[in-house]
Amino acid sequence: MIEFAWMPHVFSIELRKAISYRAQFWIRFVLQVVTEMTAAYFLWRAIFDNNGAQTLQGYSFHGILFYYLFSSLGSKLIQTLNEGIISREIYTGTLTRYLLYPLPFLAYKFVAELAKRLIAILQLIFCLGLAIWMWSLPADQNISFSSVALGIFTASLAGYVYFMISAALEMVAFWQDTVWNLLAMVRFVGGLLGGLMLPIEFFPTWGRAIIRFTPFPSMLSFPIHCFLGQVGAHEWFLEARTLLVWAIVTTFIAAWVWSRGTRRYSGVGI
Amino acid sequence: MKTLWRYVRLYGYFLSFSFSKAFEFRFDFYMRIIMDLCYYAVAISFFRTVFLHTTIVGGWNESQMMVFVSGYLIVDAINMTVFANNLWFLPTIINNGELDYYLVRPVSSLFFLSLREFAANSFLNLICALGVLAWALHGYTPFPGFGKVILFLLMLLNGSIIFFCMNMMANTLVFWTHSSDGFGDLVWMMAKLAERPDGIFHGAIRFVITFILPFAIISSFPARIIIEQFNWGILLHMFAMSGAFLALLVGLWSLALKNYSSASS
Repeated sequence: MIEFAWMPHVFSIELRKAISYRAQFWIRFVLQVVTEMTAAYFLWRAIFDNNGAQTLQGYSFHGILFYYLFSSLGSKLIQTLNEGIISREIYTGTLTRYLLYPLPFLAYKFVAELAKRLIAILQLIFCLGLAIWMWSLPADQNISFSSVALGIFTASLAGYVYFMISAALEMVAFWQDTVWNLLAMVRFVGGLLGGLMLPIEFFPTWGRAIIRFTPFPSMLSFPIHCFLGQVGAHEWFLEARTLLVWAIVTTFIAAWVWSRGTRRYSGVGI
Repeated sequence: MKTLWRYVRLYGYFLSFSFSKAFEFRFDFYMRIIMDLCYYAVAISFFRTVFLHTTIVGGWNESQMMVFVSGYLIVDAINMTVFANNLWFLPTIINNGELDYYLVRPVSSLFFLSLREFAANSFLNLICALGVLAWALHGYTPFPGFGKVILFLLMLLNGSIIFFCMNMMANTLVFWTHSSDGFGDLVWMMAKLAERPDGIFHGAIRFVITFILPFAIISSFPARIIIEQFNWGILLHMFAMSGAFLALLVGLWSLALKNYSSASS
């Protein structure tokens, strides 16, 4: 019998923890969005001005600003926000308490992660409202209530895959002394190949063909396209199926690493 | 002079300890090199992809942009090698009272806490970043001359000092906020502005990022020395900024130490 009663408690505690340093929390959020949007705004303004073009690869300047808005805010629903915590628990030995609790470790950590993602959803809705008020909706994209809802749902599914990849990498800490660089590598490479740095439509055709073999386009770029209303029902089901396959594969990998790692774990870190 | 020599010798010991430590953690050593190489590849690929759709960005063509990119990779490598390891743990050291042990030593606490850890693995990446510069200059015609290249490197070093000062000042705020993470990550977050050429920025934003939070000058201004006609104004602007930020940092640090009351702070 699987027990779920602990989930709301963990969720509630993590939510309170996430906003315990309110000033710092909001300063960090505002600065991140403002910095990313400023960098994107001026870079693409310069590119559009130089080309004198109305659209580039199907994006108007107005449309690309919304792409970056969803890239910045949507990625918070996907990329693991509690990064580094699992490996720290292994190094310090505090992982022991989870081995004694009558609940699955990875599920516990995922619920803790969900609390932060709830805040990220609220931030996304707030910033989207602000952007629409400031710039109005771009004519070349089909952003609507349903596209945003679909984007949030798809990003949440993608977030599960990303969490499992991060967890598997963090659990390398059972064997190795530092793992943060593995996580940073996934962020760097994923940022480019997943279309967070620029839409993958701008990649050369051969580049797009290669990155299809990685989980990044489905995990990062696809939810952004959902937010922008660029995805039809058939395409969504195809990509969601790919995401589901990645979800199953990554869950098995993370569970396998956990099972091997805990056999090696001595209770006082490595 | 005697004091300066003592600090040089002390830094020599830091280097020696750091290299021994780096070779103890082999996995970290190699993975950090690969991680930085990934970062370099991503940075170069990003601009190369952008230039598939335009010929000029912020007044610079692709080969000029590669010189700029190599510049910010060198600044990043210097920071990762010399300063980053020290700053990451600073909030913890302040919050748990470990700072006491640094304050009682007969040496400047700011010097000790800023430079005690030298990342030997990132040092190899600094060499790789210089390799990226050599590659960028190879594709750059006409060759700007060795004098300009040396000045470019000195200005990048100056840019690294500006970046370090902003990062250290952000971390120093922990003396008052007592937060566990500090504010250093905010500076890293805003460093994205240093990864874009300053020529694209206009208006009030340009003023802010060249005078108040001078991210735009860290690697763009040095690149201007190579790409454009020599301009004393750029040189003075950069050195005035680094001087001002160093003075601000020293002032803020001494103010912060007055506010420090060990682990209870």
